[in-house]
Amino acid sequence: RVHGKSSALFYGNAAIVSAIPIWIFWRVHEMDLKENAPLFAVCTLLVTFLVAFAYKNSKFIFKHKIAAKRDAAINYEITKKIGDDKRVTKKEKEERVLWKKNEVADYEATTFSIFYNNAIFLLALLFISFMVLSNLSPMLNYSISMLSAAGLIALLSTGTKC
Amino acid sequence: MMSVSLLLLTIISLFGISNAADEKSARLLISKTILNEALVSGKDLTIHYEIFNVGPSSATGVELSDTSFRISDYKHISGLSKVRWEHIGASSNVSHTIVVRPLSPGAQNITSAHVSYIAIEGEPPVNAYSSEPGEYYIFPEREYDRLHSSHWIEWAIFAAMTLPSIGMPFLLWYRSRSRYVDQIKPKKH
Repeated sequence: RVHGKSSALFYGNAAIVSAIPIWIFWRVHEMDLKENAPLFAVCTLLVTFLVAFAYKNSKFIFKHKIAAKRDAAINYEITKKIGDDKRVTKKEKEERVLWKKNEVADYEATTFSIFYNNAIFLLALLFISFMVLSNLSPMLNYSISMLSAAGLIALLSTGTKC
Repeated sequence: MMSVSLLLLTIISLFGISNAADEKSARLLISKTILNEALVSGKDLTIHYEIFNVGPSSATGVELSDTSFRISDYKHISGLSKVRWEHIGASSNVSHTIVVRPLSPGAQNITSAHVSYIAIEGEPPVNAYSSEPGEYYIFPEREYDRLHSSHWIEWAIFAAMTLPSIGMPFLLWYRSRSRYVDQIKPKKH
């Protein structure tokens, strides 16, 4: 269920960030909305998959890093919560720390992955569309810049370092 | 011998008279210029006419007529295509401006305007033509807007739309991070 919830979050966010650039291509590059609707739909779908792919891979990398960083703080928090309670064994305490660490790392990795990938995707898209491909026809500009930006974050996410 | 001399005298006198007539006649030079940097379909196009009298005497009954902007291709916004000046003095000039709006994009050849005026009083009117601006390309409005409009409102809306996608995840991550970073600070001290 948790996995399903995470997937829904990723695909939902990916769909939003993939659809927003249509506004720029419609109003700034002056692409007709109705005429280009099929192109917009296909590209948005492809980019959604690539962005969601990037989210998942990045989350995996970030989670391990974050878990290592939060170890001390969570240990401290659990210890403080338990206090002098003698009923809690050492093993139980370790299990609680592990569980909490996993929960926090999962949450932070998810949010950071979405933020990080969205930021890079949008910056790359704007750079490619307005600096690199500005002389191309709007339709080609849209397709190439969207897929390049999404491809870039997907590629970066497959590296060992993000 | 007498008749040949008389003929020569007549010819020389006529030449003298015509020279004298040139010295007294007005001479108009007309320039027609497009003031726009870019010609765009659906946007105003300003045409400026200047009539210079370079002759020694006044020109009278000056009529400027420009038929190069047909109603089928252009909408007339302001200024008359047919203007009359009763009198343009020697070494002086007049100007006139019209504003039209091209109705459709494409290549257009903008030709000369016609001026008729009386150079010497009592003589029939003289025809003259302005300079010819030549061939121009009228850009489609969409293409022009794409290249030149600042679109700052669109960019502001884009920024507002992307803020939740970037700002919210960052805020949520940062809140959690701050909480755990703060946790270990007392321990460090």
